[in-house]
Amino acid sequence: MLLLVQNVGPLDLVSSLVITLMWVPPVFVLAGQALGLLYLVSTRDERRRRSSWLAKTAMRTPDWAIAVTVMWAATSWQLRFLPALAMVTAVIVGLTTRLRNPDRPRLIWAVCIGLPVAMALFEYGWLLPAIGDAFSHGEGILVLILLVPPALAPLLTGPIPARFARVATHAPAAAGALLAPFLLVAVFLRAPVLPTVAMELEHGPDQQAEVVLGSVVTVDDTMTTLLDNDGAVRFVPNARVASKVLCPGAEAIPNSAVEVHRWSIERSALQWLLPAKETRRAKDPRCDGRPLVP
Amino acid sequence: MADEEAELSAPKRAKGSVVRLVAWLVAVLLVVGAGLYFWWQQVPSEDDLREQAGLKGKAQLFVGVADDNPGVALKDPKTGIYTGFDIDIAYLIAADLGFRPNEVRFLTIENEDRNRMRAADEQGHFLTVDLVISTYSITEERERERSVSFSAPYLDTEQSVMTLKGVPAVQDMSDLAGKTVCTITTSTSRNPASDAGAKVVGKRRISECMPGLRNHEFDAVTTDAAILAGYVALEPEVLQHHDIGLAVPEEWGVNTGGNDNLTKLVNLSLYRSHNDPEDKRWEDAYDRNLRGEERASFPQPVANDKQPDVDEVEVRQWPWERLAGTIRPIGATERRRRRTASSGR
Repeated sequence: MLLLVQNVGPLDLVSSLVITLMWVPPVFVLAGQALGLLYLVSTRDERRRRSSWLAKTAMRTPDWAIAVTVMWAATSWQLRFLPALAMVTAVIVGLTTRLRNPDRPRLIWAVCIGLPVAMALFEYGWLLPAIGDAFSHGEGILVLILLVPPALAPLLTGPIPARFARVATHAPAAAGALLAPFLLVAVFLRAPVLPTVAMELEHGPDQQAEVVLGSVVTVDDTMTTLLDNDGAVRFVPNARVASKVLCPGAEAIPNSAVEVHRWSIERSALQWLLPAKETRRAKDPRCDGRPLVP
Repeated sequence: MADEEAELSAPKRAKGSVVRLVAWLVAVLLVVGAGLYFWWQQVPSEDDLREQAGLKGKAQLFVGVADDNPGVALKDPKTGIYTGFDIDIAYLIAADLGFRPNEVRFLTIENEDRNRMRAADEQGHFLTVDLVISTYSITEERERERSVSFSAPYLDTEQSVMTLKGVPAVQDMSDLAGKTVCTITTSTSRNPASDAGAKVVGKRRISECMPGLRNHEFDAVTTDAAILAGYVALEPEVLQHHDIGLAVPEEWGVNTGGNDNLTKLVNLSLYRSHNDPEDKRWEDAYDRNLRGEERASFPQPVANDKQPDVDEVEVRQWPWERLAGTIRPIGATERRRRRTASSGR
């Protein structure tokens, strides 16, 4: 790790950090806001409201910040989590309306019931073929996460029993806050930082060809330093390198074949908008550890 | 009045709020559970499978095959080149595993060594092969051994009987009661013959049965139809192929020696060959090697001329690599047509 940090530029590491963790902040902001608003709506006791860190944070967050966070989530979250995002947004909007307009029942009804139902209808209309696909593939969890959040949204936009309000809102929020650093580290460690490279080495006429697979840490004028797939560091003199090829990483291959209008369910809006760099080349034998010319 | 209304609706509101609490619990559990599930779900990609199977960095793929079955696996003694249906299937699978034809090395494997995966090279050194593609029939008893793991079947054939020409037609195993029948020692063909009352002589290789058949030491030779058809096609005026109508199929599979990741890769190769309409390699192998034998073996069919069904393999693929129109539930357990009457074979 030290070798990596010493040789890979700080800009590369930071950009890798930002790109892999970009979807995480909206999760905490929106979940925290929703739970705080739920607590405020469920308790009438002013003293309890003032003593809660969650409620204070929820009250102080301006509306425009929430709006920006929702748009940030909409572009960086994978398509399969967008119904959950719609559910959280509907909950925040509904609870905020309930809090600020307690004596306008028709407005409350329209925003807390009418809006989530309309959103659910729109989502089902758009996602129905994908839900059918996921069902026929046998992907149960995917079906649940597309089907259930829009249906639950109208039920979540009101108060819960005051007795349970503190526990039900503060426990998940505290757990999330405590586990956040571990989650961030786990996500970051999984992210690929360096591309995999296959290098074929020069060999004598009766020696066997050797192909080295690994990530290039640094290249200078005499030597290439590689971190191979077993975690060992190899120093290869540049004169011995006969040919090199970049091997595509397998991390980007989606787990699910389900698509929504030709947009893979595991891609985010940002990935869809950016130019695709999917490689459809034939598999290079060097990426399997065999020489190019057998 | 307003108080009464408030009192009436208070229980309703209380019930409503309990429903909301339950809904919140469900929502939180669902989102967190789904997030964790997607995080932990690690279906391997084809590249991952190749690495876990130990294929990365392998210079050659060693395949154990027979060498005395014309049309299926025959070695030319002068050039040392192997030809036949099993050989073509080996090239098919090796290509999908990433090995080019001259990175595949064939070694002759004896029938009794097929479960141990040990074959001898030209110098007499024993090597462990990676795959055994040698007319190896899939049976429950063989699958129970630790060093045997079968892929999906790549050929469907059946047991049959071969005699010299002029012998009255053998329509059932019981017609051979009291006669001397030659077969391979470790074969699945032994039991039907001995159960019918024939005197069974076991040889290590089927070619060792031929001299005995010619000099009338044996009355008949029995083994899989696809093997016998090769001999009959070479000498159709001397040999005769009989259809004994045994209902039990002989399914030939690839033994991957307990390497489950390699089994998945072999099944993926066979699945693509079966389902991709543009992939005609199996059909070409059949036409090249076994089609020409059908006439001499009539009325006994050589084998089923369609590739047996293969279940879909759970592997992460790019959308364009998936075959269109073959949506089936991923993770369906592999169906193996069990030989119901064959607990002892």
